Amino acid sequence: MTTAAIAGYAQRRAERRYTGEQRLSLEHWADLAADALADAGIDPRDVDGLCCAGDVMETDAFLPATIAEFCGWSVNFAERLDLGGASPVGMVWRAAAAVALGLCEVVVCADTMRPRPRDPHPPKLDARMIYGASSSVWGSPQAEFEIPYGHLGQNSGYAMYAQRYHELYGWDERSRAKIAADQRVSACANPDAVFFGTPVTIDDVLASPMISEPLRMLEIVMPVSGGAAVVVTTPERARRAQHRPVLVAGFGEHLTHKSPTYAPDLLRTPVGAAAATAFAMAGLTPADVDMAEIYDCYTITVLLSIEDSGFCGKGEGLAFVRDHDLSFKGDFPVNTHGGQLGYGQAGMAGGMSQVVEAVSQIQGRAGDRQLRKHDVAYVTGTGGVMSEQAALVLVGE
Amino acid sequence: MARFEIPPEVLATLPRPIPYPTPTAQPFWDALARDELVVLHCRGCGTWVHYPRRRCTTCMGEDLVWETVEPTGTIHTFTVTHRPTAVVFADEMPQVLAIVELPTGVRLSTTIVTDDPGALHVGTAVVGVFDHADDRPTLLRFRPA
Repeated sequence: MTTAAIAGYAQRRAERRYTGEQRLSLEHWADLAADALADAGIDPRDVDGLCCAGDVMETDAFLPATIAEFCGWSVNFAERLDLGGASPVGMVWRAAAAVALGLCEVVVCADTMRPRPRDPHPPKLDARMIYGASSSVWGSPQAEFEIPYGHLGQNSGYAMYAQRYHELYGWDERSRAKIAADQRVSACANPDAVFFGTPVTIDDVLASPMISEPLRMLEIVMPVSGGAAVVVTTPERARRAQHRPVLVAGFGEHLTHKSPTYAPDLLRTPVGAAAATAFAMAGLTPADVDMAEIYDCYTITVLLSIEDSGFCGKGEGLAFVRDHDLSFKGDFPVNTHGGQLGYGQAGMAGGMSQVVEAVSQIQGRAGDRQLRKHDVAYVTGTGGVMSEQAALVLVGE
Repeated sequence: MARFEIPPEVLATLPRPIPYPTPTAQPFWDALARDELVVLHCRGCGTWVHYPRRRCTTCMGEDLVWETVEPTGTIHTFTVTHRPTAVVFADEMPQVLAIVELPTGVRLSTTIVTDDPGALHVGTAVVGVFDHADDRPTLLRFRPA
C-alpha cells in the first residue's frame, strides 16, 4: 500500500491562553487548509477531498458539505470522523485509501481548536457541557448504566486500566512516570510546545497531585489551543511538491467497545490488531521503526500501546521504558515533539500532532529535535477510553 | 484553552444524573428494586448479556431470558478519584469507581462502598449493596465481602 503520500502540513503553536485573533472554527479550519496546501506546494483549486471531525463549532450536522462550500471546493470524497482522538489517524488512512482507489487526488485533513469570537446568543447550559463526550442522551447505555454511578469522562477510565495493569504486572510507577519525563525532554527541544522550557523529573511527575489513582496530574494532557492539518495526495503529486514525500505505507484500525467495562480484554488494547494490519500492509515490523509517535492522552496509553503494538511483550512495558531513553536523543524515540503530554492537547488536533511530527521528522524539518535516522515512523491514534484505535506506518521516499 | 465555566448558582440547580430505564432494561431495574440482580442469558448460545439488549452479543439471536443471579463477584479494576468526574459528584469524594465481574463473566460499572479503599485490590471479593432512594431507581453498588 504505497499509492498515497503526505505532501505537507500545518500546525499551530500550542498555547494555554490563545493570543491570536479569534475566528470562527470554519475560518480556523480554512486557515489550516490553506497553510498545509501552501506547505505542500499544491494549488487549492486542486483539492478534491476532505476529512474533518466534530471540532467545527458552527454546525452539528452536514459538516463536510459546509466545509466544501466554505472553502469553495468540489470534492469527490468527504468524511466526518467520530473516533475521538483516533480521528486524525483515521482521516489519514481513509484519505490514503480514497486516493489509492482513484476517487480523488488531493485530500485535506484538518482539526482545529482555537477560540471563536463571543457568541452574542450563547446556547443554554446543556448536558454536553457537564458530561463532556459521554453520551447522556436517554437510551444510551452510558446514560443508563454508567453516568449515574459517576463513570464518565476520561481520567477514571484510564486510571482503571492503569490500576489493573499494575496489579497484574507490578507496581513500578517510576517507569510509568518516566514516559512523561522523557517526553518532556523532547518538548523542551520544541519551541511550539506548551511545556517548552519546563523540564520535569520522574520525581516531579510522582509528586504532582493525584487525580484518579494511580494517575497523577503530570501524566494527563494539558488542554491547549491549536490546530493541525495534513495534505494526502498521490505519490506522483507528492514528488512534485517541495518536501520529501511521506508514503502512507500501512494502516489499521480496530474497535470493540466504548466503555472499558465491556472491553473483551482490558489489557489487550485494540491498537494491537491495528498495528498488526498496518505493519503487514507495509511489509515492515516494529523493529524497522525509527520513531514511534504514540497517542498519549495519559502515560498508561503509551505503555499499553508500546506493548500491544509489538515493541515488547505483554507485561514487559515497564521494563522496556526503564531500559530505553524515549526522548528524541534516545535509543527508542517516542513522541519526539513532546507528545501531547509535553506539546499540549488541542482537542482533536492533539492526535494530528503525532501525524505532523512523524511527517516533520521524515521530511527532516524537525529543528533541534531532528532524529538522525528518520525514514520510518509508526503513528497511533486513540479515542474514547482505549476503545477505538488506529495505526499508521509512514515511510519517507 | 478556556473551558466552559459553570456558574455556582447554575451548578446548585443541576440534577444528579439518574437512570431513566429503557423498556428493554426495565426488568433489570425492577429487580434491583426488590433486592435482586437479573442478567439476560441467551438460550441459543449460552452467552450472558449485560447491559440489557434485545439481541445476544455473540450470536445476535433474540432468545434471551432473564435469570436471577447472586449479587456477588470480584473487583476487575477500580480507581479512587481525587477529583470529581463531574461537578455533580463533588459531594461524594473520594469516589471508588469500579468494574465488578460476576462469576458468569458479566461486568458491571459500579462503585465500591468502603471506608478503607486502601484495602481494595483487583480480585477482591465483593457483594452487592442495593442502594434504594425515593427519587431514582435502585442502584447496585458493591462492598467487600
